[in-house]
Amino acid sequence: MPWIIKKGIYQIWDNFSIELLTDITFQVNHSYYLKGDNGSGKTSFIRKLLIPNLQIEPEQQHILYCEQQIQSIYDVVNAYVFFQKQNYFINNEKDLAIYQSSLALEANDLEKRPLMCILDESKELPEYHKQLISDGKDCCLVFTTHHYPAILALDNLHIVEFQAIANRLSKVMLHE
Amino acid sequence: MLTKLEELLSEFGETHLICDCNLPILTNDTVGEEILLYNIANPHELMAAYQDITDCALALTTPVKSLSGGQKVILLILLALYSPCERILFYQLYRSLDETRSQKVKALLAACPMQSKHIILID
Repeated sequence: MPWIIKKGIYQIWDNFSIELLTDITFQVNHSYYLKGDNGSGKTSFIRKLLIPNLQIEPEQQHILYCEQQIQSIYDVVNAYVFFQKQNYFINNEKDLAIYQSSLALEANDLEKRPLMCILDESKELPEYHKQLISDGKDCCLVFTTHHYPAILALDNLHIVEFQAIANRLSKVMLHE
Repeated sequence: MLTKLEELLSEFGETHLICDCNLPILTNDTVGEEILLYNIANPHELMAAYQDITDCALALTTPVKSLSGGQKVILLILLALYSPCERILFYQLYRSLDETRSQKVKALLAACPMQSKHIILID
């Protein structure tokens, strides 16, 4: 089912707003590249608009979210894995990608729902793609990156462009 | 098995300030608190350099959580360069930077030998 964030101006922080110039519609089996310079609001969009929007009806989808600078939570994930009595240890981003993907696939086996996969500057984008998307699972991929020319080869790829207009405002447009 | 960062710490930890750009910020409150960790002689000069690179103003009272990921990396780079440390190792420095910011940081690093700073970049 599509997830839609309506066009309009959204206040994100006290001194920062994001203006969506178009409705942003996220569809299953499509990929969305959030493109923009540092500080243009990509992560703020994910945290303050996209994820809260998904959480309005949490039973409609599974969510996999790999936030940026994820290394800070390896110990937390390893603690979770330990308490789940699973024989696995997270040493690096690839280990985390494999583990998160396995959890997403397990969740889908228990209850079939589309998966919203959100990757914020993950260097393991290809690993997530391999595990979750490449063999036709119902998945919507949303990602940011500064270093993957190969993204242009993804099927059904849309670009969501973020442009900082001033320190306090960014404008966002979906390129169909 | 050691992670890459643990290997770097083992080899360079005694001689270099190790800056892991995957974890750029150590504190959880304001930029001023982060600056305290680095023994910066002139924080205002650092903040002016930050504005020059990012086009965004920075104050001692700016909450670190309001900075984007790339802005945190730029802050880390400047904290290291403006600290008294003469030998600095940056790990995965350019990973979170866009093209414009990358070029500005490269220009900044190119000036370091003139200031007796020895920089190692590891990807």
